[in-house]
Amino acid sequence: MAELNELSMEDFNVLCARAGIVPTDEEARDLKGMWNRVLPDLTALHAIDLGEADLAISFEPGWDSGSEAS
Amino acid sequence: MSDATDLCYLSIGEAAELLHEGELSPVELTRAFLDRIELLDGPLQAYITVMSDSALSDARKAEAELLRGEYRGPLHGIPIALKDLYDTKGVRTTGSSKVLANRVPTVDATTTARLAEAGTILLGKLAMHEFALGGPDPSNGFPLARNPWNTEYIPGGSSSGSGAATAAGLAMGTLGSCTGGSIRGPASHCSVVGIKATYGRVSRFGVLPLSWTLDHCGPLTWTVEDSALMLQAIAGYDPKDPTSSCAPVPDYSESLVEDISGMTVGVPRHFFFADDESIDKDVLAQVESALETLEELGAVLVDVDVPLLAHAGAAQQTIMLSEAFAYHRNNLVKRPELFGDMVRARFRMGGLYSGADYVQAQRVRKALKNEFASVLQTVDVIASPTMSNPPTRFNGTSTWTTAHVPSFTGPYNLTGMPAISVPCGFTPAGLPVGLQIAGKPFDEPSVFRAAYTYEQSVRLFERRPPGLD
Repeated sequence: MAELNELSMEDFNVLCARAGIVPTDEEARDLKGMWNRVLPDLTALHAIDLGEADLAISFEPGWDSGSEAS
Repeated sequence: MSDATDLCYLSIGEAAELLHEGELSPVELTRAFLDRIELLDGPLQAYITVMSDSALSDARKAEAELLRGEYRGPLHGIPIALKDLYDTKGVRTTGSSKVLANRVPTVDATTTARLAEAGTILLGKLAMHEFALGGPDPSNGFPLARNPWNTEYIPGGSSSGSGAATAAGLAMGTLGSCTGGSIRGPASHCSVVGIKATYGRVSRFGVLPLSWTLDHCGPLTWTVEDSALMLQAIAGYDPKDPTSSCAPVPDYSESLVEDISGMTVGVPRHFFFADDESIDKDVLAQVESALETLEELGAVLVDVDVPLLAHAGAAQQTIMLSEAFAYHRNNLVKRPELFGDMVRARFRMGGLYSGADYVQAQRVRKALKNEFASVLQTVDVIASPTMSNPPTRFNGTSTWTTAHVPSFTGPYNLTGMPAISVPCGFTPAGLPVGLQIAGKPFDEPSVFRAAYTYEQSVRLFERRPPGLD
């Protein structure tokens, strides 16, 4: 993640394009500034050792087929 | 105060008694509120839509029902208003965005319908930050609600109109919505009561989403009793909301007792009272005083540690903006010019996070829930300041302002715990400060009991914004 701090403007625009975002040059500069402010917190988030912590998404296989009918 | 002002400054509990006993007419009460909105909403900008005709029509209907003895309960004939993201059948619901400027829902939100069933009178739809995010943004073209305690200051958000209208007596109670603190924040900044109940307790059906896994609905009112009355009306299972809980809804009025002797109150000082220059010292002083009051009332204060609170802000922002981007992506790509500058920038941020960022934020969220679960085995409730800072001036907010001061409310959106803000004082500049009390999942009764006991002791509800009348 730390490398993202060093993104060039061109590379940042690729990141935007991947998301489908097409900012103006001025908007892109502002957005990059905001993104750079977020990155330290995001890097810290990834640095937390959560061990085997499971995301625990639950899945319930049963549903009311009547309400799901297309 | 004029008689009309007296009416608008009644609590819901007081008005309900008068209405039930036939000493007050719903039509008279509704007219008083509509007149007051006409008088004061110009400078306060709390409303996007005022529904005068339908409100009077509903008031006449309520009056007839009351005269026939068809009493629906304590909200019968009570004038309320909704943040403009609650769907109202046949009435424009905009989310304060040009994207939805002409959107007219064909179905009521479940909460809208339940309040109507309880007999409330809907006065109108309230101002808010665009799509419940960001701050007051003149570029989006919708009203920017002002703080009734000082109109040069923001009322908080995103339920800005809900806080302003409740504090100024422009509605007896309002609904806000909360993804990171948008009920408790305006409640704190406007010196009113605001509660978000446990995730799943109140239906989100028909409420414009910001972030599905963090969004909560709840009331802002003048008193704790009034919040209990409104929550009672909207709480409970709704098959239209896949996250709605089947847990039975207790009678919240039973928790309105002035007794917290022996109640244990956890205080995570390492986070909420940290020696951090971004936390306002006047706010902390007021909340320290509130904690002393809780202790004098019989509560036992216990220092507790919740280490992952340090990362709650990053996890909350990552989840919220990622989910918001997923919801708004098509409009952001095809019609970006319809968003205000502030929200467009922040929503776009949501598109930059990776899948791994979102997953890690959710894992941290789960670990944070486990830490709180452990702490809540040793204490009944957790107390803190609601906000890390008092309201700012309008020119003091920017796209990123709210994201870069510590959020004291967001952690409870992550965990889904119930949390209330109750007024606890004012800074030397006269700006309101709120005390936040959070509890175990579905233990709204303990949260209400602590807040009610405190409120009845300090009686800040006797103080109204100056200079309005």
